[in-house]
Amino acid sequence: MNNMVDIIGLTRRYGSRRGIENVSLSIYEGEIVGLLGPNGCGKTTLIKLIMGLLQPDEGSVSVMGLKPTEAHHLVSYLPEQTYLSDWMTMEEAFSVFEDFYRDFDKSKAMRMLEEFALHPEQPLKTMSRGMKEKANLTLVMSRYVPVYILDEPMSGIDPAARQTILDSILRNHNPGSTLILSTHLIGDVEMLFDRVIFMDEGYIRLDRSVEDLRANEGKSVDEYFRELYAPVRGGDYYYVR
Amino acid sequence: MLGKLIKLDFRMVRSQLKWVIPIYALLLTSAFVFKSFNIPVLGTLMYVLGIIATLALVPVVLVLMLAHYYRHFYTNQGYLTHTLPVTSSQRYHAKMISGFLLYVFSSLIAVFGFFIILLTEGISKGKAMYAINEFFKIMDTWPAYIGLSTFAGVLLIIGIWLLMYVSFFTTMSFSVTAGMGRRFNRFGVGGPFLVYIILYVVNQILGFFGLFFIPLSLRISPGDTYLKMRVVTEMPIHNFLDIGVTGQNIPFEEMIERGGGHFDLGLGVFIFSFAFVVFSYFYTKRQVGKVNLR
Repeated sequence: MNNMVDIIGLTRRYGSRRGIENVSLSIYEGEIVGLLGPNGCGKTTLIKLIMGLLQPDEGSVSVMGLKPTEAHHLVSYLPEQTYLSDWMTMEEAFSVFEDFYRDFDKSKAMRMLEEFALHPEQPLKTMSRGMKEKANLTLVMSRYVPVYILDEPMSGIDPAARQTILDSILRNHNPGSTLILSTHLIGDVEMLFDRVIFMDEGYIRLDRSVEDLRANEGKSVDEYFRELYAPVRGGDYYYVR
Repeated sequence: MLGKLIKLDFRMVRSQLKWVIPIYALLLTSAFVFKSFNIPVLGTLMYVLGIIATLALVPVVLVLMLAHYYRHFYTNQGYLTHTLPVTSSQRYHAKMISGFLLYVFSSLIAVFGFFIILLTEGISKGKAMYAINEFFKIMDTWPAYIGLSTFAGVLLIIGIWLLMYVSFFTTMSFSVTAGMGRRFNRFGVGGPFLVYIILYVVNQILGFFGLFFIPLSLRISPGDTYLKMRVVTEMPIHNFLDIGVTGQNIPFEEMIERGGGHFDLGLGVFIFSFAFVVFSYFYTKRQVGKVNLR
């Protein structure tokens, strides 16, 4: 299997606060990887570093042997927040994506919009959060790339819509491509993953194949995660040492 | 890709600009109509507003460009901008070019507005072309006062107009980019303001030094009819000390006399400005590719 993402000794701090600390890992061709952990554990920081949206203090990242900023044509990225202007319609967003990405498939995007019951002429400002999430996902999943990176694609989305989004991700990602999906809602998505990476306070707590975890621990990913992290305050998780 | 980035910039700015031009057109039309018919109070009020709007048009467009630069690079929109398959140089150059095109566009509209104002003034006085003809007379004669032909005078105005954009773009792109860099990132949107203030203070100090202590001056002396000017390699501080500081306005003739028949205007300040433009270009272009998005 080819290495798609290589991370070596990556550290990023925010002043005195730790973002991620000395993270090293490789992600391979065709893997579906779950980047899991409570809010603030470093998932988004790691993803931003892979995308070149943050600069590391130490260590290095490469995507298919290229620097993050040189590999944007190889990666389709869904950030945590909406990056389109509110006045834009999906038709306009499609036009932007068609301009910049040769691999963008507009007919696929139109099909996805239809599945999500969204209208191409509807401005983003009139959409609910769930609708915006679906709109962004449509753009990202309508590209044919070797690597997809989705950062919390289901946060703030109701459970019914989550299932629709998940189904869409499964159906629409380029076959044989690598998919990295970060979330703190593990129960909803664990059937998707080949491999899970648990993050905790900027460190990698666990990096294991799902098959191995289930076979050796006799638990689902969600159960194992809950065992490591005990719930406190408002449904968030906290690791019990 | 550069063309596509410029197109994207225009798409993004369009939503902000779409209210500026209609408002300006409305003010200008009102000024024209009410002043031409010499309607008391309202005519004068709209005429003054029309002049203010004409003067403010280019600065307003520049401020919108600045806001766009910040938003497109350093807010949520940056997640799109910085993940497009283009180089940081292309991103930076696209901003520079799209900004310049907007500057040209708004300047042309402002010039058009200026002529409408002149026409309005003429019509209100019963001689439609009066103010416009006066303006062209002045344009024809002023360059001679500084020893230039009319053509050279027009070139000088175009040159200053171009320099204004270069100065604006380099200063604002440097302030925003450095202000959103790692060193100032913790101040949020205050970072660019902080950098701008630091830049301003440094510019003032260097400007003072450049104005008096660099041996490069524009020597202005009275000619037979008009002023004579030539560049000399002398430190302007000597001439300045000869003239002396009185704390009062000195008539130009007296100033020339005290300065030994000439007045030296320090040009060293332009050396620093040029150096900053070059530095800002290379630094900002590089830093645009090293973002730290929140």
